[in-house]
Formats: sequence, structure tokens, C-alpha cells
Amino acid sequence: MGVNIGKSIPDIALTALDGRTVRLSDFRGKKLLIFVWASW
Amino acid sequence: MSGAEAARPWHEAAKATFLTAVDPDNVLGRLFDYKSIPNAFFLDETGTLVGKWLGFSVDQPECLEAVDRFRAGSLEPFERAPQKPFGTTGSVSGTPVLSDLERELYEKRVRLGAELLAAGKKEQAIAEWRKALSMDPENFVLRKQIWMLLYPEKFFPEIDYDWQKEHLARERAQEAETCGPEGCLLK
Repeated sequence: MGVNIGKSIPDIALTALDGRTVRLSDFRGKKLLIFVWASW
Repeated sequence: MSGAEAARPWHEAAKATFLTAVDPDNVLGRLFDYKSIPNAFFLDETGTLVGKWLGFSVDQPECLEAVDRFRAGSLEPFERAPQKPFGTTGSVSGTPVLSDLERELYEKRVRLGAELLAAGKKEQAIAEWRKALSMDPENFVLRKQIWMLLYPEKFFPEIDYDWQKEHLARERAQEAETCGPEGCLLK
């Protein structure tokens, strides 16, 4: 299960804190570090 | 409090310059198949996954070193998982392997719970999430969301991690009474 190393990530969309929709494809051409955290 | 409302104070206190987004539907959790937080995922310029670090913490120097190497272009593709995920006894071999249909049911229950919660139906939301959790008891993302609804005083204004460990032990003991090798009884 889950995306494996060496595989490309689907172009998912999430909502930023300011309400904007951001897509992973917005970051193509740049390195991207996704850090997943929670307040708890 | 959840979503952007919960994340904003942390983002602002950290004077963060990075983009913060919220994931109420657990899109990333399903994509990367994680069951606890925090985690880090490294994508190269083409959108290819080159690093997966479950249990990534900015408090650990080796995590920050990996970020430095990533920036410098000297990070080899890698995958890391915690040796002992939060609250487990050292092995996750007890994690049930769900069939595609069960996985679908699980996801639907999680989403239904989120929708019920958004509609103000907290008790029903918790009931759905409990059913989902019984299918995947190692899912701490879901478990803690339930706790936050039931015991907000343990999360605000301070997060009581000692309580979390104790409560997890209590819940596991209860679940052991209703779960066997064939799965768990749905209440």
C-alpha cells in the first residue's frame, strides 16, 4: 500500500491556511519536502 | 477545533515561511499509507518520491541532516520507519490486512465521520470513527482524532502526552476483550 520510492506522486490538491487550493503540480521543477504534522 | 483553525496558531508561532495546508480528508494518509504522525516525504523536481521517513521529527538532528542533504542533492533514495511506533509494543504485525472492499468501507466510515462532525453530529461521528478504528486499531491518526473530540481538556491548552499513553493502554485493554484473531466485535 502507498506510493513507493521511485514512483511519481499523483497530482493531489489540498487547501492552504489562507484558503487557496494548492496542488502538488504547483511545485514541479522544485524539490518538495512534505512534512505531515498534527497539533496533538 | 480542527483543520486550519487548529494549525494556524502553530504556523504563526513558528513564524513559518513554508506553506501549510490542511488535510481533513486524509488524502496524504491514504496516498502514503501512514497511520501515525509526524512524517516527512521528499519529492524531487519531477514529483517522484525519493524519500519516506515515518516518525520524522525536527527535534532529531539526523532528520535535519537528511533535509540538508536533500537540499544539497546528495540524498540517496531511502525509506525509514520507526522501530517502535507510538503506543505499539514494538511490532505492527498485528495490523489487520484489509481486503480492497474492507479498505473501501474503512475509508467511507472515516469520511462519513468527518461529514457528521461537520454537520455538528459529534456522537454519530465518533461512532463511525470507532467502527473504522476497530478495523485498523493501529491507526493513531484516527484514534487521536476521536480522543480530541471526547477529551478536549487533554489537548487544550496543553497536550497531555502522559495521559495519551495511559489512555492508550486502557483502550487497548478494552479492545483486547472484544477483539480476537478473527477481528473485533462491532458494538
